[in-house]
Amino acid sequence: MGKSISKAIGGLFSSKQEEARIVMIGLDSAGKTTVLYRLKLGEVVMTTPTIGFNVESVQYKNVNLAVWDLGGQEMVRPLWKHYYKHCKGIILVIDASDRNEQRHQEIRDELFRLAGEKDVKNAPVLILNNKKDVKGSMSTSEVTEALDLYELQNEYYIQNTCATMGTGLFDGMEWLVDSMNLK
Amino acid sequence: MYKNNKTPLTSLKILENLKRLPKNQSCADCLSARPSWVSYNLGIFICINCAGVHRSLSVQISKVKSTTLDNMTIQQTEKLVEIGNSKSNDYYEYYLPHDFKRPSPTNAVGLRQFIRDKYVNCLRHIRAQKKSNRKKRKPKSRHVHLHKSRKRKSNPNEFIANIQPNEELLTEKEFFYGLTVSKKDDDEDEKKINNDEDNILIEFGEITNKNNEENIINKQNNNLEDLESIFFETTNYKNEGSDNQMENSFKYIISLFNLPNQTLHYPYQQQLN
Repeated sequence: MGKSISKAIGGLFSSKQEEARIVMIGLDSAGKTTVLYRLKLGEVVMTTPTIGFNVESVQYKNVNLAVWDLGGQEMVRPLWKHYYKHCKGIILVIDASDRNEQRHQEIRDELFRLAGEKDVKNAPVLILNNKKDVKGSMSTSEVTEALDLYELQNEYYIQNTCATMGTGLFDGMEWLVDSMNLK
Repeated sequence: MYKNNKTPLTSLKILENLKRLPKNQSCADCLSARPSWVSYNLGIFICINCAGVHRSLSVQISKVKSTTLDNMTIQQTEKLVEIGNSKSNDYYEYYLPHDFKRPSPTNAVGLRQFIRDKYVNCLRHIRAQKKSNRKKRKPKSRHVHLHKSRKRKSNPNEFIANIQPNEELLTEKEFFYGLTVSKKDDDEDEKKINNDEDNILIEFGEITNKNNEENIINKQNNNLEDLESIFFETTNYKNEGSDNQMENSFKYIISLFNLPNQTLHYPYQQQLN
């Protein structure tokens, strides 16, 4: 009897929740590092190109997230697959102001290579359409067409964001946290 | 190792050769040594700190890639061959005062302001001024002028303070490729500016000279071999020993013939400069 009560109380107040691992990918200069520190610190930091990765623990709605921000240069993209193990969700950051078709091809290849991996077969993919404040940037429907998203097996959601102003980031995170199967 | 079959090995070779040129030995913006990043649409070599700032200018102004971590196509290296750091700074730092102190590579805030002024604000200011000069010919409402003069005073910086009111700035094409650009009538110009006011890379007028048009087409069709030939002409002297050694040996030969030094000049001097 006493044991069960203490267990119930312990369950209420325990802070020992496991961190859900989230991997953030995207092409170089899409804004991954800026998004990460906007989530963590709530301010814009001046970034340099990421060589290797950044990891920060972010708390959102009583859920602890370990967000891994990986470098986006062409030579380090093949290393992304080593971070997918035990990964609960994926954030894909896209530069909406870049209308170069070759770049769309590159990120589409990476996205479908990701979807083929065993570890992230059921992981939801949050697509951040970043730099939306730039004039002439892509809309969500244009992104869907450019990346052939209707062929994607994973659950996905496109969110327009602007990391420097912080708009749309938490709407996207809310969807990601809700759709992750956390037990 | 990761290999991409799309890009030929030769673009790497070109970049390696370009990096060795004396003009590309220091960062275009902060002058720190051995830059390993490039802005391939501006045609310059930059360090990693400046690369961070360049990326924040958006892809319309500067497209940044790494020389070691990215694969580049031959077309992307073309501007690096044609322009380079010294030529680019001749253009973008034309209005910079001589006693200007560059922000150090660690001074992130100063660097950010400097690069923003250099590539965006200065050109934008000059174009706005050109536009307002044209408008002065036609009488317009007073409020517009007041508003503009206030706006100009609100952000004075090192670049803009040095600009003389009626100075003509060459466009990028005119400066880097020596093209002659003829201006159309004022009205048409104004229309063009009004259409893409926020676009920074606007050019005035159109190219009329047919020979020049052909030149552009030839340049676009530049083969890989042509590009490589550009290189080997400029980099050959490197293989013949260091500069001091060459100069000393040359002096030695002159002394053997008992000739006065002043009459002969060092043949590699011109290439170096």
